[in-house]
Amino acid sequence: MIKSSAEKVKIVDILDEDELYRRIHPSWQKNNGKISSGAFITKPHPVSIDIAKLTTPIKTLSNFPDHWLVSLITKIVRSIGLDACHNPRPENYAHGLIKGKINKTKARRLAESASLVIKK
Amino acid sequence: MIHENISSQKKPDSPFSLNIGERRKHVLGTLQVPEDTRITKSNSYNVCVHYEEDEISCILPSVEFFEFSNKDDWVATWIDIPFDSFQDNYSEAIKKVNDTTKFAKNWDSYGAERISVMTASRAINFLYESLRALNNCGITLPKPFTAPCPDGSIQFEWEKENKELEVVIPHNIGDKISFLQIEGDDYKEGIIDHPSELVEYFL
Repeated sequence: MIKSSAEKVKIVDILDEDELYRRIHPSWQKNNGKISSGAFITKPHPVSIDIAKLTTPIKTLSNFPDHWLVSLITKIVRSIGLDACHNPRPENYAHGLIKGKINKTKARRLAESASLVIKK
Repeated sequence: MIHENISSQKKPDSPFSLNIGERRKHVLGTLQVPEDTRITKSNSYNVCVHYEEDEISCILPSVEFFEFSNKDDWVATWIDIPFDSFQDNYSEAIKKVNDTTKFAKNWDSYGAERISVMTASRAINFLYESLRALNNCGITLPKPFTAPCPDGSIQFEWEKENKELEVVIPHNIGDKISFLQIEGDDYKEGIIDHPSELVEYFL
């Protein structure tokens, strides 16, 4: 019997304390070390992230030498009316999504809550 | 300083294209002439010229002496001082907007859309119109931070004292320009119908 991909890949629960990684393109990097909320204006698509407990900062940044890496705390993401889920891809088991409608205010709050993990 | 040689009252629709010499050019937006010309009372400068489909070579034609001509013999030649001021204030932003149009699809590594020349043109027109409105009111703003967005839009960000303003120029020409105003813990979102409304947020 052929199993569906959903059956083959284990989906992990995202806990409030889980960290979520997102790469930050150079054009979103401000001189003061903050990042632009533009990084989270992805509509109509959800925001892609990596689940920190399933990867490493180096792995998430591999192939992207100019990017910064920031982390978001799931509890904060949920506190602004969004959610995070595990969405593994063949090339990246740690891949996840921030779900929910992200308006300007929410994009800004995500940017404000992001902590710098790696700054190039 | 000098506005002259408007040889026709014909005003092209937006966008339109024309030919100068051997190089094909596109003019985005509505080309209008200053009020001190004999042709029109308009004082808008919503002009963006680029030489190839995907590359902007010159966004502000009035910084130097330019001449446009199409099959209908439509010609406009002018030098415009306010644009010099615009360049001084926003040259960094203009350069970044131009640069973003060269990003390939997936530039952010998460599947981001390309920033179109049309969006870039709209963004720079917004900057120019807002600067003019602010100048008229004696308001000076710091240079904006410019960020391309993964959905193909362009965002400008200003910070002045305890106020911040983020303005999104959408990639879809039919969508309105939106803003987020931040003052302390207050966040206010809305739509900007005209760039001159930027004045309200920094009075």
